[in-house]
Amino acid sequence: MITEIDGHVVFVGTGHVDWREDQPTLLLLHGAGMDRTVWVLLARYFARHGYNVVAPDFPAHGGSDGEVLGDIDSQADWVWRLIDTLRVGGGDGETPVLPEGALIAAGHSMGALAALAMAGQRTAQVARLVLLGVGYPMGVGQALLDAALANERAAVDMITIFGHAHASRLGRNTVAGISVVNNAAALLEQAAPGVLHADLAACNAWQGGEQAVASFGQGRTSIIVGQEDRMTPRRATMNLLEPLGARLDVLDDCGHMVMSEQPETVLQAMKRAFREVSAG
Amino acid sequence: MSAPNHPGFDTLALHAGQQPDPTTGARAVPIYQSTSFVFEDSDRAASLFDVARGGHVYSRISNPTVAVLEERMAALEGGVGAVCTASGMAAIHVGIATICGAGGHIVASRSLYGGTHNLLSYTLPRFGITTTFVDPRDPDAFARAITPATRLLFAETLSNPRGEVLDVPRVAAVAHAAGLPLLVDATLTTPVLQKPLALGADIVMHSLTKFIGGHGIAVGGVLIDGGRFDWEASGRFPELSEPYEGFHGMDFVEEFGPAAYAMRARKEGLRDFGATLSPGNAFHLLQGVETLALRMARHVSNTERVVDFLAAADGVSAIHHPRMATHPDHDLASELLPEGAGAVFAFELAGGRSAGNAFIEALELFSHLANVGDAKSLVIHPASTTHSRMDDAALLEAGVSPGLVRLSIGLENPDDLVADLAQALKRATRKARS
Repeated sequence: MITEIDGHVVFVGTGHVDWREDQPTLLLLHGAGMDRTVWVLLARYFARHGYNVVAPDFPAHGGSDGEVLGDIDSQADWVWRLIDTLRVGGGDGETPVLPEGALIAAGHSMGALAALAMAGQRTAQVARLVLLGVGYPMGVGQALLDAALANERAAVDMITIFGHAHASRLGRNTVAGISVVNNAAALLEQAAPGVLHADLAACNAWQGGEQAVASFGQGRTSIIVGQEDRMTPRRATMNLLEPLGARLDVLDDCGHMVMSEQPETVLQAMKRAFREVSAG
Repeated sequence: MSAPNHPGFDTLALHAGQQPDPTTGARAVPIYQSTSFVFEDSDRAASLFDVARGGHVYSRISNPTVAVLEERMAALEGGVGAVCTASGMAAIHVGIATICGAGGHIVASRSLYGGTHNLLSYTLPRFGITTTFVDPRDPDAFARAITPATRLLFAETLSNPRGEVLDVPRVAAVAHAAGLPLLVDATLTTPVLQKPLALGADIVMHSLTKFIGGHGIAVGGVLIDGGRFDWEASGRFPELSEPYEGFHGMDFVEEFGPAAYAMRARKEGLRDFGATLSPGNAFHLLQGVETLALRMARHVSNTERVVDFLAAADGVSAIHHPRMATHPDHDLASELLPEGAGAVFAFELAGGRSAGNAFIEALELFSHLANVGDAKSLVIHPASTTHSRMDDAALLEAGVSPGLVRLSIGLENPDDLVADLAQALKRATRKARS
């Protein structure tokens, strides 16, 4: 679906199912240089299993226009504005759009940082945080930043090679005929000049993690990472694990691009996370 | 970070799309000779139909053995996805039908495989799809033939039998300037000699029956989506950028982004037309893929040896291979096909049709049959076989003269090939004189 914020088009994936006011909202935030399509299977699954799926393209990504948001906190602000604008949970403008605990915020990589930042802003509205391919701080190598700044193909190569496990780079997709690595490369190539660099720089620079973690508190977070993730090393993931009191799922034969590399395992991990919300 | 490397071509040819079977440990790709696949529960069944989880339902639409070949071909061509079909012709049909319906128009090279020419000239017009044929050596001719109804440009990367080399970057630029995709048939070049997606093409198809299989035991085709064409921005492809009631109202671009074309080709093309590659044939074709680079190098070196022999032989009036400095595309081939301009080419005997017939009859090692790209060397007389449905004018347009002989050079010892050609030429020359 298409909406607008500040006169700019915002494209939102819904899993192609209409929202219902009596359902919780599942927010899915994509990573650097990507768009909503990285969530396609999960969005379609959860949209058919009791969730109002909101998978937006950040500004200047995918089907959204406008200027790229240059830092993680701005992304978090923007996502809350989007949630309010969409009135996913109904409301008439006077009453709160989302009841407390009505939102599950999931994000991948840069999107995970944005989800964490927004969870720290309105802690009561977020029932559960699901962080995929995440670490904090999310340092980005200078070579990758430089290549992205120059809009060089090497940036795409670095992300697709370092971002996928060995097995994924050879391929074995559960979606017949689709190359996980080449699909990721095509997505990154579609990013407008400067967008990938802005995203990576935002990840690299964000220092709001401690505050967001402290605000959100413990026991409401699931972290899902690949065993072979070379984009967000394990030690950076562990920096979040204990402070958030998070549940950790480490996926074998999986790198950074967990949703495309291991869609079925990620689905099961997310279902476990959501059951913990239901269990209260 | 050090400079990263993707797996090389030879590695992908052996491994892409497959991990050892988790149940049995089988290293080779198993043949999953099953029409259908058990759903572990009703939720999974519904999810598969909703495209909310990956997996296989029914082998007309996808099959684990075929999927390995599809992912491998996508990897070798640098595409986001691939769809295998029962034949190369099926790949062309699905490739066109995915984005072109009644009222649609194609601008195509006039130098095409006879079966393709037949499809475009006679069969598709019955379904309301028309084609304008143009000189493949003239990119501007493609541009001039584009109309508001045009939905794609189509050509062969290396034509059969005269070896016209498509200027892929220039024709792709023409297509993109008009908001159209370029679909190329790369059967005679294979991804070893050229990767058209990297040169600007948007969709690639192959007859897998030819060099990619190489053994001449299995018919198959493949369609590979480059994933870079902007279907939404073009505004000409509601099949991909608007909800499709034939598949749960799915908007393929909205859901699958770069892989929209490949997904629709499978979800509609295989589902409704049913020109599916069998798992057995996929297995056979995978055996060919594993050695493709090694074989193509030998095909090319053997061809160069044969071309050089024919160039110096008595009784040969013309050789249509880009290796020849006199070939119109010699320079373009050097640029776009640096590893070699293929192993299928034609030559003309000075003695015309009777000499051609005598030559073919005299060959002992070459097999006279209607195929190319086999490990064994092949020969045919196009005017009486592959291009027989074309009238004289169309034959002339396609560059096929009555005395033309087409060779597909195989992997035999090149000395033996040259010896067979030499003795056959001698007998053909004698026949022409008598």
